[in-house]
Amino acid sequence: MRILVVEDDPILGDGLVQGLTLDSYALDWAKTKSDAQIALTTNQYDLMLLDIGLPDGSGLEVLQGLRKQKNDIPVLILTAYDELSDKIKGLDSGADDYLVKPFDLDELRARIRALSRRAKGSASPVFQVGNITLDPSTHKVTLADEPVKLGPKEFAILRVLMEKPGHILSKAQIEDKLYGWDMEVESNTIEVHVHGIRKKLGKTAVKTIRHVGYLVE
Amino acid sequence: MRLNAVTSHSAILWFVSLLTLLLWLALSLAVPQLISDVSLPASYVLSVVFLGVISVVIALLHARSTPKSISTSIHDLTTQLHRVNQGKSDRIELVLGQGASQTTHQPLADLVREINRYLSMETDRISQEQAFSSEASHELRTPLAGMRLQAQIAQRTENKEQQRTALNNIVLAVDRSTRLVNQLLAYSRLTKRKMLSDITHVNLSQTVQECAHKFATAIGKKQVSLNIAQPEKLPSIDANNAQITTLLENLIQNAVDHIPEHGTIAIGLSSLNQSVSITIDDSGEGVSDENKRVIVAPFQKSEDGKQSGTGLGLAICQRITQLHKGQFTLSDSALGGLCVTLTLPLHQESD
Repeated sequence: MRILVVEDDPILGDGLVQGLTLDSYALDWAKTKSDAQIALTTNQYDLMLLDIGLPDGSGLEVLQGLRKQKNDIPVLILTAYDELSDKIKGLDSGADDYLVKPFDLDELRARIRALSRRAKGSASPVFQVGNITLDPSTHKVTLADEPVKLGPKEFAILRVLMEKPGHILSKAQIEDKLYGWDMEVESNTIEVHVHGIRKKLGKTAVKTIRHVGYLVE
Repeated sequence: MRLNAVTSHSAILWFVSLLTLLLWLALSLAVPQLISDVSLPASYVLSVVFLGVISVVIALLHARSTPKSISTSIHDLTTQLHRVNQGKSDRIELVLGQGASQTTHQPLADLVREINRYLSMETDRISQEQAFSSEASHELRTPLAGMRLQAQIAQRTENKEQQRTALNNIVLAVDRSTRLVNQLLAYSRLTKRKMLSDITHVNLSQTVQECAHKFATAIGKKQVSLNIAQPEKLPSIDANNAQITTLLENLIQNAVDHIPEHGTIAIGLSSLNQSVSITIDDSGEGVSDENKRVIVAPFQKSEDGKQSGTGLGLAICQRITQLHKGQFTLSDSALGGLCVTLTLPLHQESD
């Protein structure tokens, strides 16, 4: 899952990126309104964390522009303004949720999971395909009710695939959801991690469609 | 005002009495048979009694008209002010009652106008202060959010390097918040009374030298050249030295923050007719005309998103200049960056 963080404060922005990398999300960090707008037109995101007070304008303008372009990715506003009118304004501008600064990392992570779950049209917090389950909140994966320990990248790949069972994702699409701007991608990483997943969950857990990509079903 | 009206009315009263008395005397002298059966002293007594009655009647009428209508107006204004105090209204209005004259009520109308002017100033000030404290809380909440996240990352991660970075970031965020709190306090302390309480003859040449000296380390680190140009003799100005020092330090700090290594800062002092002018030029990237208007307001930072300052530095500078009845302008510098020009009057008149 690829998340765009829009925050001008260097320490808070870094905290968001570091904190969410713990969940193996791919993160891009835009520090101004214009950077955010460029990022949104050049990349596909699954979710956006948006600060309102940006140096070159309001985050709400980014949000309104996004919704005008019929982009309906979940947006979580991070706001320092806790007045009711500010919250209403944010939600009415097209935000799905908001958190008032300062906030708890675990609450932020839980809200991100809830928003992405809803965006995928599912209310269940645990993904299940066949006899494999994946819980994004606890990072627990089970095979026939037996816990299996996956590495962070293996977990992230499996999560991406299990979010849309039956959908083929190309290697590039998976990389896109796994690596932010600043992260180096080695050429055969995805293959290596898929191999790791198969070793732990069985050969058929992830299927390869030659020259197209991977899927779970 | 009421006293004046009463005195002028009694003067008229006595003038009328005197006229009546003279009339009575003239009448008694011209037609003595009219009062032949009354002795002269008795006629005097009679006239005095007559006059007394007229005076009392006039005085009663007088008391009924002006003072009563003024007191009604004042009572009405008090009720209106009470509503203002309760926040139900933001101005008062003088309603003239029946029989009230514009002239007698003019001073009252003046008073009402002044009260309204004060009320609108006060309303402005309060909404400005509300906006200011809301902004201040925003500015503090962001570093707090940063500290909290970084602390949680330090708790979670087992990577020693990541832990150390997170802890360093917390220290940075605390330092930045401290600087912000200090600036907020400095800004809130900039009141007229405080400024006037410590006015001395300030030798600007000396103050500029002292301020520049404090930046020796920062200037050395960035290998910046700082030039000060001043006339041989500069008149001293009436000013609050502590505030002028803050002002100059903020401006030099700003210049140092915004110039590249090996850049130049030029400070120029000159004497004008009734004022002294200080210019601070830097060879930084400068500020667009649109941003020049914006960055002076509290918490507005330039668009590049660089986070060097608290967003209060220039606002403090402008406030100090205003308190000294001076001019504060931003323009493009010949050095390529920003030029700040301060004009400070030689004398501070107390008003």
